[in-house]
Amino acid sequence: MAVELRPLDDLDPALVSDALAETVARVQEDNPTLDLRLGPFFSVLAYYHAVLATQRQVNVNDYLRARSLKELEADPDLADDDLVEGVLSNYRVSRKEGERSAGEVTVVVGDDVTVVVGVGAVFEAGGGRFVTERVYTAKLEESQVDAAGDRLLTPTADGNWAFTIDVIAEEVGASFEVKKDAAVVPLSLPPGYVNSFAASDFSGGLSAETNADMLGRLQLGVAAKAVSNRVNMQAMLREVEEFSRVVASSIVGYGDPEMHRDRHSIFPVSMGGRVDWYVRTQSEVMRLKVTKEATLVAKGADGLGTWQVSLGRDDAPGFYEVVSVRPADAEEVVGTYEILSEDRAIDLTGLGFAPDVTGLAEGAYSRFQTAVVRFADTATRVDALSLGAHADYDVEVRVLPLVGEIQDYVSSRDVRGHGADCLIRAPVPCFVTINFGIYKQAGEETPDLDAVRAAVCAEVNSVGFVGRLYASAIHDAIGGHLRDNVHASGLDMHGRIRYPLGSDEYVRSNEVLVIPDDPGAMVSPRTVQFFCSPEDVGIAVHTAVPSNL
Amino acid sequence: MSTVADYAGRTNDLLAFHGDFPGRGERLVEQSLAPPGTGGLVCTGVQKTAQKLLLVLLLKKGSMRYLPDAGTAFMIQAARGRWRTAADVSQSFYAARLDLVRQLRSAELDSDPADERVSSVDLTGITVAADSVSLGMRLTTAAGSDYTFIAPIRVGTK
Repeated sequence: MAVELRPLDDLDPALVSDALAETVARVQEDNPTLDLRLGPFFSVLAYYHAVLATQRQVNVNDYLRARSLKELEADPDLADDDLVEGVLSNYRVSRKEGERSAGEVTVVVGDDVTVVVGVGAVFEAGGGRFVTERVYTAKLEESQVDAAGDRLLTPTADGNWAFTIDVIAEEVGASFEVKKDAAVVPLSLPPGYVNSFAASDFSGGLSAETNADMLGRLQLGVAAKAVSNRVNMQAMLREVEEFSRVVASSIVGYGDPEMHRDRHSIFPVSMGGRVDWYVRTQSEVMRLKVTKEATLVAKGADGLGTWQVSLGRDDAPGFYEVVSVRPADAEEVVGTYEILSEDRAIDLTGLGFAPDVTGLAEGAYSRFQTAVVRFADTATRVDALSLGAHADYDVEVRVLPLVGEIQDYVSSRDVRGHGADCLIRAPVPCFVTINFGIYKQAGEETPDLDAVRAAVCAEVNSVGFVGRLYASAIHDAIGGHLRDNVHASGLDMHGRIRYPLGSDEYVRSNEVLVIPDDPGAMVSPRTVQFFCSPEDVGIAVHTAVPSNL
Repeated sequence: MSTVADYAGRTNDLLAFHGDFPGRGERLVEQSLAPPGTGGLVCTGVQKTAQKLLLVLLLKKGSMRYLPDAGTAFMIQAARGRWRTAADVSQSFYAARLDLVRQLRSAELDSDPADERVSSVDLTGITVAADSVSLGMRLTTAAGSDYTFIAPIRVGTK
């Protein structure tokens, strides 16, 4: 049934009393010879009729309310999912189903023999279970790798062998995200197993939309899907299945001080016709590993060299920063080679249509951004190499996905506006670190710190384009995981804003982090988003002796 | 001897105790709304009044969710195992009698016939067995007539 009948013992007594009085009155009126004041007629027939009639009337009222948008918005859990979907389908809003998180796992074995990982092999990580969807065969010879499930066994620096397979979560949900390098343990160990870990951040895990989520999209559902005003543009983006889970976005256009691209004329005024669309495509920044060929550009007297690698606009569109540079496939290496310089530029070549971008600041964090990274390899001797020699390195960057795909979509002829160009940019990042203490009495159970970190991150990452992060909101998130005698205090928020031109500015507070209003540098509440990952949340647990003895 | 004509114009209720109730002498009556083979009967007069008395007395107070004041604590005491002797039963009865009479009178109208209005209710005898208690009760109506009946109640006392 779309709307469940309420239990007979869960009715409003006043309604039952009214129904009983009405039943007695009506039956008495129609049957004046019946005694309905006390006795079997009253207590068996009239009473239970009134109870059942009240239940049915309440059910009818619940159903009518469930068909009302106003009532649904006031109480999204009033009706079951099928009924809400039926109502909202009238406004072209359909429920987004959950997705399963997927990623790559690097398996390290001790022997250079063929290893087979069967289909349905289970791996566990972060409290979730992940499975393979095909048979994987790790082979020693590259010439033998010819099937879709074949993988090459590559030697590691510590004498082991490694290969990479794909896994997918068993269940849908946003909680099945696994960070790069996190342990991913197989339930059934393959021969020679040494260890296994995530080769990159898992992604794609999404929970099914709740009724409240669907109602939040209602306005977008009825809006015209076009590059028009802000509501229409967001509705257009969410109409595309691939982009329907965008977390937040901010549109900067004509009249906004953060818009610089419409001032390219000789007149020092805004001419309009340009839109910068800052899109946060997921809650947490992703760490993406890209294997690139580096070039030896300098040789030092110590026999070590300086290398240079280029990140093209298609390698990691809109990436924020280079996190590490390491030898290719050297998963056991911790840390990074020293990054000596990072020069960014804009590449608009070879495009049929490109937004009007005339400098790095205007195109930073867009899909047209490129970078040349120089680093010092302190492990590889280059005495025998000549300048210009090549070698592969793994470059890890922080990036939000889909920036390139969304740009391609809004630039397509069928979608782009006739009178304006639209540049998609990842929001200017403010990477937040949160530290606080948890105070508990001796004997009290320590709270689930992982859950606390996740709650803090969820709170930080859900802040829209408002430019303020309040400590009270974080305290609310923490408090939901603390028992009565456990308290949090000493909250410290530290934010690093990476400006479009690459400089870092810092903000710090224990009350509210405020994004500076610097539209000249395209940094303002309209362009900046807060980002926080669990490893950025520091918790110190203090045990206090109770004083009320 | 009364006839149907004596009860013309009276209001009726479903008969819940089928048999000669309240009658003269001891007769076992069947508690049922519709005995097998019948469609049920209606009752009026003192039979209706005595039936109401028993139904209210034996209804556990609070057992009807949306009529929390209906019934008495009489059977609640029995369910809690408070009855060990006739004195215990008598104490429970007289503790419940006030509530019982109040509920019966609150459902009466001044226009009701005298034999359908309760004047008093008394115990005439109590028999306690291992698995049952028999209550002898005397109902006195506003008409001044007395009717005595026995209500066996199945309840463990040991």
